[in-house]
Amino acid sequence: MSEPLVIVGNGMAAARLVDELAKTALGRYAVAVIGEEPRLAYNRVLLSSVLAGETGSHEIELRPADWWRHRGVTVRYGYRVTEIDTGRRELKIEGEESMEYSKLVLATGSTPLRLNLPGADLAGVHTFRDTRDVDLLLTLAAAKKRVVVVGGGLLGLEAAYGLAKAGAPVTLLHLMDRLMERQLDAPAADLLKTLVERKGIRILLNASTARIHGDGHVEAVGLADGSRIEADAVIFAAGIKPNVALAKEAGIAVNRGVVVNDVMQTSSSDIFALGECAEHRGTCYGLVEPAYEQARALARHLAGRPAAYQGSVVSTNLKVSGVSVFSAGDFMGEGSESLVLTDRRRGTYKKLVIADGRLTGAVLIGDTIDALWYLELIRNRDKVAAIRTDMMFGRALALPSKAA
Amino acid sequence: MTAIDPTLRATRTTCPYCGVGCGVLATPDGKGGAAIAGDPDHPANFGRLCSKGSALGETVGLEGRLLYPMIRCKGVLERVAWSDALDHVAHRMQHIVARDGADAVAFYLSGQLLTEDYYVANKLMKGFVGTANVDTNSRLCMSSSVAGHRRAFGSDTVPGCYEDLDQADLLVFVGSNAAWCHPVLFQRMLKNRAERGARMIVIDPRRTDTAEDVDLFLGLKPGTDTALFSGLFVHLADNGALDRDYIAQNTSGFDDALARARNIAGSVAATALATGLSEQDVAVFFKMFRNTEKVVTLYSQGVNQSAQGTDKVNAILNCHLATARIGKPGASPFSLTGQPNAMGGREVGGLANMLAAHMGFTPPDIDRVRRFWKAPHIATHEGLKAVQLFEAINRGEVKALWVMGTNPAVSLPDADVVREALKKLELFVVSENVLSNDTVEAGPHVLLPALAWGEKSGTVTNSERRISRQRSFLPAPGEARPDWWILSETAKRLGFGDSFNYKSAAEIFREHAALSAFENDGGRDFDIGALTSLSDEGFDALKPVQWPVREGGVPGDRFFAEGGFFTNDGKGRFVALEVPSLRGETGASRPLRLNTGRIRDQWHTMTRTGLSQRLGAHLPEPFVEIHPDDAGKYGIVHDGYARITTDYGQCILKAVVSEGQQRGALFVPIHWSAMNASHGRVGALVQSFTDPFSGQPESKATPAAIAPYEFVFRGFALSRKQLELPPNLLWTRVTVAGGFGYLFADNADLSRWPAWLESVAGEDVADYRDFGGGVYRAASFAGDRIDTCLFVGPAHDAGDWEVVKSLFVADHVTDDERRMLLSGKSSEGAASTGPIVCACFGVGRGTICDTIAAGARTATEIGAKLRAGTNCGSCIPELKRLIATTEVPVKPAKVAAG
Repeated sequence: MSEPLVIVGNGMAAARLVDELAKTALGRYAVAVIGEEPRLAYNRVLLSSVLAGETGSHEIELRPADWWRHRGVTVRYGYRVTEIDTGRRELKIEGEESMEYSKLVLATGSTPLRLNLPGADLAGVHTFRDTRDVDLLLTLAAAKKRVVVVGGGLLGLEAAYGLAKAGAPVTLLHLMDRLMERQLDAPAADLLKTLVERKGIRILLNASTARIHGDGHVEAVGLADGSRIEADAVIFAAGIKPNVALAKEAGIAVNRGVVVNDVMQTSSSDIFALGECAEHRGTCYGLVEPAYEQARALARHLAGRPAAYQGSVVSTNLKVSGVSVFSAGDFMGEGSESLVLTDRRRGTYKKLVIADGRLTGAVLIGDTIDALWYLELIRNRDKVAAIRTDMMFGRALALPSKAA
Repeated sequence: MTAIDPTLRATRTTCPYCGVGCGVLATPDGKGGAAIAGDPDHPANFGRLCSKGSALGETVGLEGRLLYPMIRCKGVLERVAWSDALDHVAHRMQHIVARDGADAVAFYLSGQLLTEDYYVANKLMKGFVGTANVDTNSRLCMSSSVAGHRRAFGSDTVPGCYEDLDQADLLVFVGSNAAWCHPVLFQRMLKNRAERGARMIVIDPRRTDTAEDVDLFLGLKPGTDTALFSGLFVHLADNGALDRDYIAQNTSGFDDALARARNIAGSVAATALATGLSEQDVAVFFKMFRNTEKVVTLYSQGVNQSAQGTDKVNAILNCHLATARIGKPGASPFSLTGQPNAMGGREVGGLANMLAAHMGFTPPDIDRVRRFWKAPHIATHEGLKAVQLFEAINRGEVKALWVMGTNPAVSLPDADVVREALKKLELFVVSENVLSNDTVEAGPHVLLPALAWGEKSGTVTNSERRISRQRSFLPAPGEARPDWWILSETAKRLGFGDSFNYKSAAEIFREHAALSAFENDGGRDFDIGALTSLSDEGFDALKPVQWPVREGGVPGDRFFAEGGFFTNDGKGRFVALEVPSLRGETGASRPLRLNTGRIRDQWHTMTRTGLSQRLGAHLPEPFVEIHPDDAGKYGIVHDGYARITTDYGQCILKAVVSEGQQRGALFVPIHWSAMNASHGRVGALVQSFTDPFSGQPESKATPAAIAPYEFVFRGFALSRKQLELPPNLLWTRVTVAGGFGYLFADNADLSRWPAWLESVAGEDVADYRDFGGGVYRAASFAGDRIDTCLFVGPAHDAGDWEVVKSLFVADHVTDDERRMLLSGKSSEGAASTGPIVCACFGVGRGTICDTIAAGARTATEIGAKLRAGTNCGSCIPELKRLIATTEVPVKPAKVAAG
C-alpha cells in the first residue's frame, strides 16, 4: 500500500515535484495534488506572453491530464485547503471532506503585494499573478484603458509589456532610480529602459506612488512629488509575499516564508515546503529555477536517497519578446573585475563579473544567447583564464571544439 | 578588378619605381584611377610587372596631392597664383646670388624626374645661374657606380644589357637583393636558370630572399667586398685565367692594381680571413668565376652605399677587365639602378661633379657646353655633392635650396640634422606631388605643384641604357605643371628667356640629343644624335631605344668588348684599391653595424607605395632584423620592440629575429618617415661619412646599439580618415582597403583610450572593456559601415587585425558581423587569412598554409590553386619557406587486408 503524499498547491513547483517523484520513487507514494487555481498546472512564466498575445492561454499548460493520470496522481484543482491538522495528519478543505496524508508538501506559492495606500482598494486596482488576472488585464487592454503599472521589477515589466502589446497605453512607475535594481546594474537598467520605452511604454523612475485617486473606481495615481497620472486601472507589481498562512496556523515555523532545511523539511517532520512559499537558509526565491532544484532534492529525499539542497545561484530571465534580459550571480561586481560589452544600437549590454579567476556574475541585455553557458560557468566555479579573451563573444568562439 | 570602359585606350608608359624600367599599359578608369598591366612589347619586362608596379593604379588618386602653388606668409602656407610664386622664387634667387654669389644657391633633384626636367634644371643652374650646386638623390643610390665607371672606363657607361642576363652561365649578385628590389629582372634570371642552367651566387652580409635558393651564398663581413674581389683578381692572375691580349691592348694599370690586390687578399686563405668566409666557399666562388666565361656580376646598393663604394665597383670591374668579360653577350659587370631615371639624370649631367651630357669639368668640356648653350655664366668647377650640400646649408653657406621630387629630410644620412638645417634656409623651394612629407614639413617658403606619374610626359632611361617614354594618361590636376615648365618660367624671370623658351618636352629632348652629339665624333659614350631630328609625333611614338644612337651609326648594344674606352688613351683602367675598412668605429657602446635597405613592397619614402593597401599588407611596420644569437645577447624578443641607438639618433622598431641576419649586424628598412611612423625615421640613425670619389654615404654600416623596449599595450586602429592619435605613443600608419590603419604600442594608462575614441567617434559606438585584462576595443559606425575601429590589448595578445580589416572594408556590416566584430575574430570561426604574402593577388599566409596542408608541395602547385606567386614571383622564396615549415598531416599508410 502506497503512502499518501499530498501536495498543496498546483503550480510549477508541484508539477515538477510530481515529475521528479515519478522518476525516483515510482509507486512508493499515492500522490494527490490539491490547489486553488481552477485548472491544471501551467507555466506561470508564460503569462506575460499570453497577455502579450504571443501564446494562447491553453498552450501554457505544463502537462496534459493524461500525464497526471498515468502517474496515478489525484489532481484536485479549484479547492482551497483551510487548515492542516498536524496531529491527525489531515487537511481540511473548504466545502469538502478532509484528506489524510502521511507526507505533506506545501507548494502554496506567493501573492502579489498590494501597497497599503489610500485608494488601494478602489475598483480597477489589480495584480498580475494568475490566468484570472490575465483575462482581466486583456479586457482592460482591449478597451484601450489607460493603465499604470506600479513596480519596475521583472513582474511589472512583463505586465507593462503585455498590456502595451495588447493595446493599452501604459505608464510604469518605479520607486527606484533604475529598473530591476535587484538584477541589473545601472548601465543595463538604463539600456533596458530605452528598449522598453521603444515598445511604447512610458517609464517614470524615482516615482513614489502616494495614493490612488478615484470615486469608487480608479481615476488617477498621485505621486509623492504631487504629480498626477490619469489612469483607468492600476496594476500592483511591486513584490510578492510567500503564502504562509496555512503553515503558520498549523504551528509550523515561519519567517518570511516557511522555514525549511536542506531537504526542504519544515519544523514539522512530515511536512515539507518548496517553491516561492519556502524559506531556505534565510532566502525566499521568487523564481522557477530554485523551485525546480528544490523539487529535485525533495524528491530524492522522499525516495529515501541522500539529498541536500544547497541554495540556488539565482538567475533571472526577462522573457518579453524583443528585449531579452538575463542576470545571474554577483551582477554588480563591486570589488571584482568586469568585462563589459556595450552596443546601444544593437540593444546589447553584456557584463561578466570575474572574481578570483572565476565567473561570479553576469548581466545580459539584448543578447542572451550564451546566458545558460554563463550560468553554468558561474555554478561550476571553473577558472576562466583560458577563455577570458573570447568568453564575452560566446561559447561558440571561446570553446569552438565543444560547440555543437 | 576595375571595370574598364573598352573605348578608353591603354597608354604605353614606363613604371616610376626601380631602374629596371618596365613598360606599363595604363588604362584610365574614368574615375581618376587606372588599370595597370605590363607592356608585353617592352624589352625590359615583356609584360611582367612586380608587386609595386602592379599596384600603381592604387597610387594615382588625388588625395593628399599638392594642387596649387603656395607661399608661406607669416608662418602659414597660403595658396597663390603661379605668377606670384615664380616671381617670388626668381626674385629671391636673384637677390641671394647678387649678394652671396651663385654658389649660395643649390638644386637638389631626383632620379624620379624625367630627363627633360633634369636637363632644364641642370642647364639653368650650370649654364645661367652659374653654379654646379646641382645634386640629386641619385648621389645616395648609384654615384659610386658612376665614379667607378668613370675611373675604369673614362665614362659613366654600363657596358652590358639585359639580354646578357638571359645568356649568362653564371650570375653573381653583390650587395643586391634583386628578388625584392628588381623583381622583374630577377624572374628573368630565374628563367635563364630554369631553361639554361645558369648558376647563381649571392654575396651579401644578409641572407636575403635573393639568396634563398642559389648555388652559393657568401655571407661576407660587411664592407669586405673589395677584399673578396681582390682575392678573385689575384686568383684569376695566378691560375691562368687572364686575357693577356685584352689587358695588353686595351687596358693600363694592371700591374699596380694586381700588386695592391695581392696586398689586400693574396690567396684564398687571406681572402677568407679578410671576409670572414670559409676557405672552401671562397675557393668554390673563385673556381666558378674562373671557369665560366659568360659571367655577369650584378651589383647594387650593397656595393654603392659605402664610403669605399667606388673601390668596390672597381674591384669588380678589375676582374671583368682582367678576363675581358665585358661588353660581351652574357659577360659583363652590371650596375642595377634603383630609380626610374637615375640613368637619365646621369646622361644630362644632373650631378654636382658632372657638367652635362657625360661631360665633366675639363676646360674643353666646359667650353663646348658653354658654346652649345650660349651660356652666360657657365659653372667651371664641381658643385657640392648631396651630403656636403646639406652640411653647407647647415653652416649657412648655401642659403637657397630648391628640392624637386625627393624627400631629403627622410632619405639623407643624419636626417634629423638635415631636417633642422632646412629651417635655416633663406629661400627653400619644394616642387612636389604631395601636400605633406617630412621635407614639406621642414618649413619650405614656397611649394610648387608638379605633375605626378600618369600626368607627366617625357623620357626615362633604365639600367641598360634604354630610353623609354613616360606618357601621360591622366589630366593635370589642379594647377600642377611639368617640372620643365616650372623651371623654364623661373629662368625667364631670371632674365634667361631666350634660352628657355621651351614649348614641349619633345623640344627639350631634341636639344638634349643635340648636345649629346655636339662635337662628339665618338669621343663620348653618350650620343643620341640620331634622335635630334625626332618630330613631335616621332617623340610621342618613340619606342624604347638603347643608346648610343649615333647619327649614321650602327646601333650597338654593348661597350668595350674590343676596348674603345673613353679615357684619353682609349684604354680601360685597372684601379689600385685601398684596403677595405668601414668608417665609424664599433665599440662597447656601439657594438653592432646597422645596415639599411629596401623591402619588397615599398619604395623610397612611401609617398606613392604607401598609398596602396595591397603593398602595405606584406610588412606593415618598420622593423629591425637581428640574428638569434645577438637577440639572445641583447635581450631582444621576436615580435617585441627594440630601441636602436647610434651617435646620430634613435628609433624604436619591431624586432624580427632572423637567421638571415649576420651576427653583429642589424638591418632596418629605409621607407618610413615621420608621416607614417612615430619612431621609424631610420635616416636619422645613419652616419654621414662619404666615399672620397663618389660622395656616396656609408649608409649600411653605422655603429649602433640595440636594447629591448617594453610596451604594456599594443593595438590597432582603422579609420576612414587619418587620425590624430594620443601623444607619447609608438605608431605606424598603413594604407588599408577603405581607409587608414594604425598599428601602435603604448605604455600609458588604458583609460586614455575611451576618452580618445569619444573625441573621434560619432554617436553610434560599440565598445568592449576588460580593463583588468588590459583590453579596450571599440568601433563607431556610420550607417552600416564601420567608421573608426580601435583595438587595444596586452602586448602579448593584442589581437589580429586581419578579420577586422575584412569587415572594415565592407559597405554593409551584417548584424551578426557587428555582434562579433569586437571579438576580433570571424563569426564563422574561420581563421583569418593572415598577413599578405602575395601582394599581387592579395593572398594571405593563412590561406597559403591551408593550401600547403591540403597537399600543395611546390610554389607552382600553390600558384595553380591560389595564383600566389604567378605574377611578379617575388613571393616565391617565401612560399618555399612556408612549404618547408608548414606541417602536413601524415596520411596513414594503407594496410593490406589480411
